[in-house]
Amino acid sequence: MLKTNVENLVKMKVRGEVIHPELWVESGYATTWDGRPKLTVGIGGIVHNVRVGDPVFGWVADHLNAGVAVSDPDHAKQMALNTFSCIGNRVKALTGEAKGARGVVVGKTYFFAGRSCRIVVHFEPEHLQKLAIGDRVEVEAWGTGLGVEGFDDVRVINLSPDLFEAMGLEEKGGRLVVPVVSVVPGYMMGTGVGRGSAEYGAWDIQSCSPELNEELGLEGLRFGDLVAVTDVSCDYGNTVYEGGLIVGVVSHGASELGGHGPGLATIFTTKNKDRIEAVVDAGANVARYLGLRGDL
Amino acid sequence: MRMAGMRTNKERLVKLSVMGEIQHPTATGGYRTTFDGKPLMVPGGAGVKLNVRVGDPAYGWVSDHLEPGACIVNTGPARQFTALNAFACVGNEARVVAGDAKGALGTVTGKHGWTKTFVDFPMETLERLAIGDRIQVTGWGVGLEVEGFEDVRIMSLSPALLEAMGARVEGSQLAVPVAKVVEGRMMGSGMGGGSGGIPDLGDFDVQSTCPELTGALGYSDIRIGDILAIKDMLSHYARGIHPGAVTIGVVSHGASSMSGHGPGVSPLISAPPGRLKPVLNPSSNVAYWLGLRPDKEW
Repeated sequence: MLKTNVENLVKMKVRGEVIHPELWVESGYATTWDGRPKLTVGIGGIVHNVRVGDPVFGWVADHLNAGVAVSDPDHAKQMALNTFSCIGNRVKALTGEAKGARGVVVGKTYFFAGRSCRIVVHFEPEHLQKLAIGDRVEVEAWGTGLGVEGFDDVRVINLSPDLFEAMGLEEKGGRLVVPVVSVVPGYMMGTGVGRGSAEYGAWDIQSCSPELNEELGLEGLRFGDLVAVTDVSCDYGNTVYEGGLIVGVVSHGASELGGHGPGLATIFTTKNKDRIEAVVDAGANVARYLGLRGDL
Repeated sequence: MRMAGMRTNKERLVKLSVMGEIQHPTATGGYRTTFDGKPLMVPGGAGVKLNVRVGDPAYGWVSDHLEPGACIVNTGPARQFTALNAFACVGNEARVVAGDAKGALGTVTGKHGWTKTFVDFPMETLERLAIGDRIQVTGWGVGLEVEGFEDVRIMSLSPALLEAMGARVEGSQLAVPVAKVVEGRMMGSGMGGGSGGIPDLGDFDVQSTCPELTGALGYSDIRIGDILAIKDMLSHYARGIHPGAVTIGVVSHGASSMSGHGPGVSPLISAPPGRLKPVLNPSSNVAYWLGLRPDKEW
């Protein structure tokens, strides 16, 4: 049984609102990696028919958030909401017809300057029907600073103690054994590299090379999947780092824009890959750990 | 016009004036945090550098994101500052229009973010320049194409520099002299163009935050102004991985210890697989091709 510092972690409320869908460019089309105009469906808003556990590829969309996008119009509050919300945190609708409905944080995404940095929240279908854009929701933020005893060189970020416990992780020979659906080479990592801290937003696995998508089997990825990436580090920002390793949760969908793709919210990062053993397990998905999709 | 077996559309390209002013250096109220978790407060961005110009090392300074020469921005609305960054091409002529250095001529050498444009001046001019001085650039190069290479995108590159570099057609390939060939996996901040928007603006960084890799790959002698080839990188409409593609760019600013950052590269040419041949030439630097640093041995 792994020992954590969970009893030292503060639980606090952060608040946001269900945001309206946004366009990639203010007026008109985004441009794909190969020069095609594209309208970007799926950034922000309430997505009804794509949920955590569903495939990230194949939708007529770009950067799709599966479920409900939550942010705040005020930049400072938006950053605090995104930074302190952890994957697996409990959410409650505060206003509107869905008032009182319970949800779960299943992803974190970032959008560039002038656009919304958002978290992605899973609600049951009956609540999705009742939720409206502009409804306020609160997150019981809990997890920032989570540490595992004996693993000082593994940073745990964006991960709620609830999800950590549900994953039932074990130590084996001095390594933290973490199930992942796939191990992706670091050279695939795109937008998000160089961002100030990995505690907000996502880091994209580039999906702009159809050839590499197929070669690496990226097309099988699902929202909520745990993915390991080699030779990178997210200790204090996202960077290439030989011998480093991260594990992240797939937080938004694929993209046809150059340098973009499914975004990972990092949950474990180390500069020493010998400290984490990523074990391939097709069932390594947040929806399964938290029992969010009885239909899958 | 045919130059070195290469015909371009340069006669069809508009020359227009774009304007910026020398920006004051900036600092934040707190420390920045390095890749290895240390607090950092050093100079680097904006202003006028009196001892760092294009042709000088990109690594080794007590600095972060070191910007050479004079850094100009357009302080107008977004559309105007974007226009300066988009239309100013590397190799374009710039002229000081106000202040003690009025009338002095300089050369655009690179871009950073999507607002900053760097202009190199001779040392005697740099000493006379003041923060706030206005500098006008003759923007010339947007839309540049080489005949027979319409599938190769050229951006931020003045026709004068393309010719001075001795780029030439070799069969089905465009041969371009480069100081170094860099692995695509090393490219960091600016990938995808999230903040920089499109590859015609700003730059993306050769990550310098894994010092072991910088050493192993031999990147620590890269200079500001070096022309680099980046493997497996397509920068046609955004910067992204693409096996076999090559992006040619110029090193615009210096190294960094912020995770995922490093010397910035402003893309100049983006070629699909098989269409561009990088030819190694250690002297391939904007300062060398345009004769900006007669004080240096190349």
